[in-house]
Amino acid sequence: MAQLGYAASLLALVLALYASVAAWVGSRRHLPELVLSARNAALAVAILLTVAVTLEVLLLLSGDFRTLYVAQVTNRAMPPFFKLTALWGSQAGSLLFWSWLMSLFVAAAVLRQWDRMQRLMPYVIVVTQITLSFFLSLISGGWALLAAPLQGLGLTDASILMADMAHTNPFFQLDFTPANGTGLNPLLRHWGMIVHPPVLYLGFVGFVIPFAFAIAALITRQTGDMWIRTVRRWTLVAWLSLSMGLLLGMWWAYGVLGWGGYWGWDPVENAALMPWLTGTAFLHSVMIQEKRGMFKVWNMVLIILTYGLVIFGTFLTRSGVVSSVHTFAQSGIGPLYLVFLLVTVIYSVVLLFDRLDCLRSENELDSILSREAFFLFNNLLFLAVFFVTFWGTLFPVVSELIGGQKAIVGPPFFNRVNGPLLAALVLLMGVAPLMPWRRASRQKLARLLLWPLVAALVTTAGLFILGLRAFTILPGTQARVLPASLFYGILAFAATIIVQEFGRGVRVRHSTTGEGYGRALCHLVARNRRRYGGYLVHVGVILIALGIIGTNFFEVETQQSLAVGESLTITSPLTGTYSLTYQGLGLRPAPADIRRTSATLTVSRDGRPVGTLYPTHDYFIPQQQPMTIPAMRHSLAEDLYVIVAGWEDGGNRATFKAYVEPLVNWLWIGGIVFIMGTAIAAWPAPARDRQPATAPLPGRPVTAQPDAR
Amino acid sequence: MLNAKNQQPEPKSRAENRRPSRTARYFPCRVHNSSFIILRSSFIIHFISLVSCLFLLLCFAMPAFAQQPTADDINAVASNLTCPTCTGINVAECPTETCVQWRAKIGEMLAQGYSQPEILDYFAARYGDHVLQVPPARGFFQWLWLLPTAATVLGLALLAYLVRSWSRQPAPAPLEGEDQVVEDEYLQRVEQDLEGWTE
Repeated sequence: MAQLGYAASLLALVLALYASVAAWVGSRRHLPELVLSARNAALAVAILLTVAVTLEVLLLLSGDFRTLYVAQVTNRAMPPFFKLTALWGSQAGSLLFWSWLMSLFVAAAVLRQWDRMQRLMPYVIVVTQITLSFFLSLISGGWALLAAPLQGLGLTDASILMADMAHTNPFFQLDFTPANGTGLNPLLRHWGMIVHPPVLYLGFVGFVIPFAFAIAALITRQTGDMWIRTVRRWTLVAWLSLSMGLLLGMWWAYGVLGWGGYWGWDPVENAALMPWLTGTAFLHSVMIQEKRGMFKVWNMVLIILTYGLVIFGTFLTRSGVVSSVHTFAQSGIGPLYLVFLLVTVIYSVVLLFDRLDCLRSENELDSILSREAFFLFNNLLFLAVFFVTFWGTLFPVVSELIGGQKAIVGPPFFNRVNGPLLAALVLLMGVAPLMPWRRASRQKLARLLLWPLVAALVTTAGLFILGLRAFTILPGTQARVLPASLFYGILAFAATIIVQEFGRGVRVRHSTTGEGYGRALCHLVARNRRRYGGYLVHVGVILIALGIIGTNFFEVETQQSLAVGESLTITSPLTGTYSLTYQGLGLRPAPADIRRTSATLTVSRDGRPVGTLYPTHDYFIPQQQPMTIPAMRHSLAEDLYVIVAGWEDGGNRATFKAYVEPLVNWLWIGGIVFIMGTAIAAWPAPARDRQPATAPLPGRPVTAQPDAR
Repeated sequence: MLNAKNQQPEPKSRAENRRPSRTARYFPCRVHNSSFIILRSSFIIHFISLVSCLFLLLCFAMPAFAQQPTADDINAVASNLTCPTCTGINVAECPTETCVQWRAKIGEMLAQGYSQPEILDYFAARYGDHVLQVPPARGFFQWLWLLPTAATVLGLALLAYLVRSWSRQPAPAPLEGEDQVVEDEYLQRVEQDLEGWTE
């Protein structure tokens, strides 16, 4: 079975290479049959990889420990569900899974756009299949073929290359059959972690489609907004997946890692955040190209950058260049990634320079008080946050290489620099929707901004005065009241504008059609999905910011050691003083490979009992790895979050860490709103509504020739 | 019954032996009394008593943690240090043996009256700057802060310049309303209605 899987992935590699060559030659020499054959090859790659993935899953489920990967990530005691998810639990399997997702994306894009995008399609196939070939060559160990000649040249790296094959090939066979496997990393046995990688991968590989269309547009000089219209929904889907992946990752970290936080500015977290930042900038700036035919070069730069960062992200994760809690085992495939990344970026940039003449702007910027100008500022801020993150992530490497000094850049740096930048972004997010294209009249703008400004001032002043009083009880928090009040003022400003925008639309609809307000709201959103879906995404961002500011500024924590019967107290900035009384420690039923010890704590707030918490310590026997599982008491105001850090004397005395995380649940609620908003914005319109989109819009010059006819 | 191996050694300090109130320990009343008695004997004894008096006054002015620091006091310092053996975890959250020892050391130093910056300096001098969560702003490390700031300011300046130079040209077409691109007829009507509503 393993041999069959390996054969399938090898054949997929050959076909992917064939498809890219055939598509290129077929397009250059005008041989439609060859292009068609390339298309079919691309579809066959998807089918072959589906077979390979199915076989790998069967190997995992049946516990075929002779296959190295199966022995690494599963063991006999694991439930089948976790055996299934072990597919993306380590390097080799996740590579296969990644390639499979990409091949499916490509197949879907090829099938959907084939008739409409005849000119671009061959090059889309070339770009995607080359990318796919790279990943497949890692799986099939094609690079190990280089090992022998390299060794002949006296390069010692060759042996590493050879050894790596075992870690990148999910079908690699051992010479013997181990009695049992090691099992999945305990940290990954959480359903947040089960959903997080596939969703994040979907986001990552999804960006290959807009990138491939962009490159195809450059090659064929079809640089109008046709490609942008085509890939808009693909980009949104990729972006949505990436956003969901990030949110799920945060949720997992919060629920599993036991430090009360959800984002640590870890290199790998940053690696996933960076393409999201540039991708978000891209999503905003393509709107200008769609509406006004401007910033074409800039959009190309953004999509190349985003795709480059996707590859860079996988490079960071898999190469061990930057140490991180997320990195897969150190491996020698790093240099290969770097070469692939450099080739991709350099080729794209050279191509872009060569095609600058067909990327001229069709319009000029009219005023600084216009949506175009504000989108540009939005782009600048996103790129600034990206740059800070990039620089902070790579600084340890740069510092060691150039300055010769080791350094670590921790969360304080990122929070201090990115915090104000993100606040400015929220401010822009508030104002920008009020800006019309081209030029705004000052009087009208002033009138629209009146109430939001009042809301901002009232919120800031109110929180500042109330906050100072509330926080005198907590030492060391006074200094945070002013920045937090300002942040919340900005949020109130942006929120008021969005409510006002919805209100305007509903009122207009109510007066013109006579519908009730509820109905009017539904129709308003349904008829203008992009606009109001976008607003909903902004509402999600505001709610997420509410939680982020709450936890960053007003988290309270304490660590205390308690004998049975003793209590610790922790004072929340919002609700009252919790008192946690230690009742004892005991073993609890758990799966065979886990020894589970739970502490019992009764909780009361301001003297009234509010429940019992069971912070837990799981010891994974095969892996010899302990894991702390926090116990939480959720409410909309805050979470009480408790872990048991250790115990002595058979459990008569134990050490607890307790956290109060104000407003943290708004982060998850905001995430759901955010996802709903994106889904509304990306939802395909019914066919009759879509019709006019193929015809040029009234009132704008037509330069791009739709290439289908 | 419960495996001793998983237990994390107790942090040095306990909740229950928190420092007693400072005033009870260091109230200089008694010192004054004794020095008053000694005053009548030789000058040397007088001098010594003055010094000891000053010393005790100094103790009085010492940081609050001059007694037994709590786990929270220790964590407040430890969260500025990075675990040297694992990756990316700060010492306050790290469960490894090394970090437990480091926290104990921080507790000792706090009890001896060292301040947070002094303790961080001690660890940085002993183990290297990379044990700090953020490198100190000197030498090459300054670039960590300088480069993003410079890039952002430059970007803003460039953008402001571009926007100004573009918008100085006269607008080629009438503004707002007629030329406004809208997604469909309905939205156009909404937009037109909105014009009336807001005016």
